[in-house]
Amino acid sequence: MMLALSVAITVPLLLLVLLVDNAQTRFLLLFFIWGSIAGFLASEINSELLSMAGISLQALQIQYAPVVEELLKAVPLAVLWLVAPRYLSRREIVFAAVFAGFGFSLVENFSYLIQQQQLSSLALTQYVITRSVSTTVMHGTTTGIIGATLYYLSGDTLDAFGFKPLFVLYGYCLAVLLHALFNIVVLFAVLGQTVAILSGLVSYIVLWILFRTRH
Amino acid sequence: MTISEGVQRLSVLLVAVAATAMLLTESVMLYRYFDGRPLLSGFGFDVHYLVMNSILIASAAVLGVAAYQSRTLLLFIGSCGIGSWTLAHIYWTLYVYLAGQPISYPSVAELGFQGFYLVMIPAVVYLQQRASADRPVWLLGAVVLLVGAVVGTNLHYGTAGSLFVYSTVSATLIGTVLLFGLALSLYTPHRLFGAGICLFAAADGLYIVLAISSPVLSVPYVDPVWYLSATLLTASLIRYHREGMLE
Repeated sequence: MMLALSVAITVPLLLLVLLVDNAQTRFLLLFFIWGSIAGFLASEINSELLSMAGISLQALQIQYAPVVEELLKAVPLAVLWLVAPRYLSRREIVFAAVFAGFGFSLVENFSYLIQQQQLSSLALTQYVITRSVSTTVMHGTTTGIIGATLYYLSGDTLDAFGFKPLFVLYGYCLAVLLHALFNIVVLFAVLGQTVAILSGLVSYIVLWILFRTRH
Repeated sequence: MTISEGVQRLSVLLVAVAATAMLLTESVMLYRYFDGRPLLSGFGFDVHYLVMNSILIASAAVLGVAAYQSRTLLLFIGSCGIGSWTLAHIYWTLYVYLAGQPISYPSVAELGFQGFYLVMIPAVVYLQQRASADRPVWLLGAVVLLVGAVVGTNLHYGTAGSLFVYSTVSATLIGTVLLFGLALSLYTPHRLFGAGICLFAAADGLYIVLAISSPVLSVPYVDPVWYLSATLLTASLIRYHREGMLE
């Protein structure tokens, strides 16, 4: 199912990439495509962890999945860091990282949507809106944090401090932790959903202000 | 760019609040210990975690505001470090309320706890270089001692695999920060910051050594050390900036 979902998103977007002239748009679309592929890969790894490692679904959600998912979403950023670091000094890298997170979330949202077929049309719509303004933004924000860390490290901002690989590691740790924190908050029945939506909206507003004011 | 008077006063007030909370908490725990009761009641734990997380959030936020006002990267890095530790502790606390017991060590929360040391290593090295003080060679013993204690405890309890690797890596990070913290407090004018770092690292080091033998562990008697030292780090960095020691 996840493979089919991933292909359904990836193929049309790849065809679009070939049509688009603008290099920046192509760059962003490629990151989005990677995000949707990462969504499929993460679901496969998570399923293996559930069946082979014998961990519970709750432990997977709040402990293991964030580690796997943040690592997979950040793969293109790591590749750029190693192969073509000059791209990291461009502001688009932060957008691109957010795109990868959104692409990932799209596949994840569809997979959850398919599992909720017993819900009415209205309930499904409400479910999707809830996930779109909370989980999707969270995925974009966490990958964006790794992208922003690499962007600032590529400049001379942190030259006086040295130890640049430690900051990269910090960015990844922070992304995983925020993801895990989000997943654990959602599990609380009383205020979990409300806090998740509010945190998603606040994150989006912060992202919006940061991106808009810097232009 | 200067830090406002209000932010500086707030940072000092935070230290006072943290010190008072520490005295009260430790007194209650000591009294209950000698009375043969658990260190804290259910309600006591609720209040304790609320106070601890509030002080940690306030420390990170005040330092963040100071970094924004002063446009000083060192303050921002300090805020990120305390912020990361705070988020990890909030996660840890939520797990306690969700599962009814502390999360088993090592958990994903350790990424946040160790995140503090990942950014504090560059910060303490930067401060020491600016103070133009030589790093005393004998202080390397602090790292060796801590790593040795962790490896020794691991061997004693026969732990292996991820716990062995994780606790040793953590001890190395913590030990490095402890070493530089000691050097800062002994040989540079950044004594308060060095003391805060040492307290923080010593508490984390103790936790790891204890967690090896008992991975599902709560240490309420150590908790106040973390929030007091977080406020010390915040207040000291703000003071150094206002006194021009970070120029």
